[in-house]
Amino acid sequence: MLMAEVGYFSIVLALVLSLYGIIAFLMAIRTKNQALLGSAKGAILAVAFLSTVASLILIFFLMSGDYSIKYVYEYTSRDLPGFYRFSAWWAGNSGSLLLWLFLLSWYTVVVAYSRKGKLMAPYASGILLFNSAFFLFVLAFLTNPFERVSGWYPGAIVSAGAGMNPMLQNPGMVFHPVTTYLGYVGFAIPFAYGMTALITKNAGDEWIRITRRWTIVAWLFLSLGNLFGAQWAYMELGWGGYWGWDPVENASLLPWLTGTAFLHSVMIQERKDMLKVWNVVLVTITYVLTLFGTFLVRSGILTSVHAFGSNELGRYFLVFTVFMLAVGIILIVTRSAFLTQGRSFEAFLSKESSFLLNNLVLVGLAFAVFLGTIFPIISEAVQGVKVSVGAPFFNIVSAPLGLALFILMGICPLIAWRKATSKSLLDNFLVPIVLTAVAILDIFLLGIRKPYALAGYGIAVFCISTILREIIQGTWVRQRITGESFLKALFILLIRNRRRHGGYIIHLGMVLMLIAITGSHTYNLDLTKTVKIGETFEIGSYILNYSHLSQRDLGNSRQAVYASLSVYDRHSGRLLGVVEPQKVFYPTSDQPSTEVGLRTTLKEDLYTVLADWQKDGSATFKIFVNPLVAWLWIGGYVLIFGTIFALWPVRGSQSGAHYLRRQDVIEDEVEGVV
Amino acid sequence: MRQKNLKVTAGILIIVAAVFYLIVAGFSTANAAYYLKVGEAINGSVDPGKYYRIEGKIDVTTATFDGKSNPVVLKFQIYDENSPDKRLTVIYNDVKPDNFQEATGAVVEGKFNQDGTFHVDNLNLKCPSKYEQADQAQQEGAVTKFLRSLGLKR
Repeated sequence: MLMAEVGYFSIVLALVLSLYGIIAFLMAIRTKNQALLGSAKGAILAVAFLSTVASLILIFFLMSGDYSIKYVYEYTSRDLPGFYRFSAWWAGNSGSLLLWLFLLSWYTVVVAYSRKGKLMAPYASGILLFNSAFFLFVLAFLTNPFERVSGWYPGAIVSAGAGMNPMLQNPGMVFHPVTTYLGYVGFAIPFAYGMTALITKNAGDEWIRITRRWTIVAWLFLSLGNLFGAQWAYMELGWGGYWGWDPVENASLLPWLTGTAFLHSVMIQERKDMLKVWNVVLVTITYVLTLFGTFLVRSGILTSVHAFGSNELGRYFLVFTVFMLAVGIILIVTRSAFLTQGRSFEAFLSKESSFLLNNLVLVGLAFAVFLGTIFPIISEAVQGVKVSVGAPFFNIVSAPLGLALFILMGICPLIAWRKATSKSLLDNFLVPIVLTAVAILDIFLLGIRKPYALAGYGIAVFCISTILREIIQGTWVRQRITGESFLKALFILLIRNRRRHGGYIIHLGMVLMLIAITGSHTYNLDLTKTVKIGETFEIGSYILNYSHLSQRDLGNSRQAVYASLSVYDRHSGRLLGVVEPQKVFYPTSDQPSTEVGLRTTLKEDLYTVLADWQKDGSATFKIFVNPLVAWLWIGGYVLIFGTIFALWPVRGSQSGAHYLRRQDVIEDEVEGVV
Repeated sequence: MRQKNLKVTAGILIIVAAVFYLIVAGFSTANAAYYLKVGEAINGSVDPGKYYRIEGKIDVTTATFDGKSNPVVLKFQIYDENSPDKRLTVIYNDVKPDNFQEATGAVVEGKFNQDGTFHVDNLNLKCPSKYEQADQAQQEGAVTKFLRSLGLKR
């Protein structure tokens, strides 16, 4: 069968069609020729169709195990379960680029055929198509996913594959790349519309309203991508942590930070007609950072645990990134005069200015992380000496800025739009501040003395209490006006303004994460110990008894050596359970791979690693006690729920701008009453 | 009006200043690691107070792990690819990471002991088979190589 050739030629054909589509869009816009416009849209559909064909063929090869295809040979093996065979689609370089193209091309179809913003869609589609063309170029000429192990059809027959890296055989690694790509690709759309607003000199907030949902979806996926990545690192790498400030981790954190800033600042433009230039700048930075992240991962320019490794590809990504950045800068510089501000700040104590400060902190944090990440590159280019900064640098910078962000998050719901008076401030903040003080005193008396733990916990309580206060007050006002029961009033209040309350739910999720991060970074314990069978040892509030070392078959030709540790409570002596850290031997790898033994409670994780063992049965363990880590994942689920809540369509109305504005005015007034 | 904008500007300036202060503080307090080759490390021109990041190939055959001592000790030698006889002894108070045996190279971070051994608190392994079959071994100088390929550096 010539299927590999069909796959490759569908990529080449899609490249040709995408170039045609770009030209057709340009001409259709210039000549206002509807037929040509239709043809250009057809090209977009065809590109999406062809990228789907290519993807399906690759998936077929992976699932059926045709090892004569190099990609299949490198990333799968005979005994790989079907689940991971499918995920091999994004395990390697060319496959993951194909996934990216697949997502991007269908996003573009939705943009091109959407009924919203008819005048802007052709420009935005053209910009997105240009992105697709770049990926198609890379797939066609630099890293062909359909390359055979040897030559063209029929090629050599290969009977077995080299196998997927054991570290990628984990559910976290199945979801992490897909969600990250969905996030990365998603930010291309607000960027394309932002550029369209500049090209067409459209000073309104149309582009922001059209892309609001796109932005939120992209942000959700990027959040999930980071979260799944952290979870994977925690479960699979066996060093007891979930975030190591690795360049590649930073690469996906950077667009998340600027994207979060963008998500907030567009609200100011929608409501107050302000910060217009800032918004196009932010969306450009965010989009360019997604490309930059890809460049970092693919170029091998920085040492990282999850780098791919091709310099060739990195060069083209750098050129593309710089080109798109240049286009963005030129458009912003030449067209920003059209983006006149509707209003300016009316008061320092206002929601607008607290949003602005939130933006500055987020962007400042992103800048610091960016600088730390590329510091080896800068120092080598400037001085010829490569100098790197590690986790301590990032912690020093991010802890205070992160806490400042949370303080702003807590303050923001209680400050009115336009102008807040000091009396209203005092009324609003009295209860939260008292609660915060009580909470800090409470844990202080329990023996918590570390400043960051006290600050982190206090700020978390402050945020939760301001959010709850806002919701409860709103419910009371509603009850007074309508005479409904408390629960009914609460329910209706929440679903009436889903965007606002979804936002608060997301904030609650973030606060839970803050609690987890504070706990796991201030009161974590670790211990490395070699013990004989039957021996007991202590860590934190646990007593561990090493009872035996055995071997078992995990299926799919995988063998595991595991140690059994009985966990007892130190105070009561009660048996809490058994953890079994293990080393798994994969048929395709000479080295065993660590599987941690984990006992999770809401209070803390007991995290155990079997590091080494001797013939006499004695074994070396690494044991960690990580407080409150479970709240990181719980916070993540709350965040997902909040985002979906905010996105859930409003019945009847398409939540048009006018409706929204009027609703906000009413709420501002309600706020004033409160 | 003017005064209000002034306050907003002041707020902006304070945050910008705080970010810069934190970056500077971060650079000066955190261990900035200087990159070094094994050859340079052995020639002795090292500062015992400084933090270094050294890259080399691991000689797996000389690696020993002592799990009985407290803390545990992993000892191994690293060398430059082009001068395999010059070796640096690395001491790491932790367990062998996964993939240690098949690692092509290591990036270690730490300080020098008086006896010339290198005491590290960070061990990163490089495994060519990890994600890509391609050669990933030349991290050191990758930037230089990269810039050269663009014609920006000789």
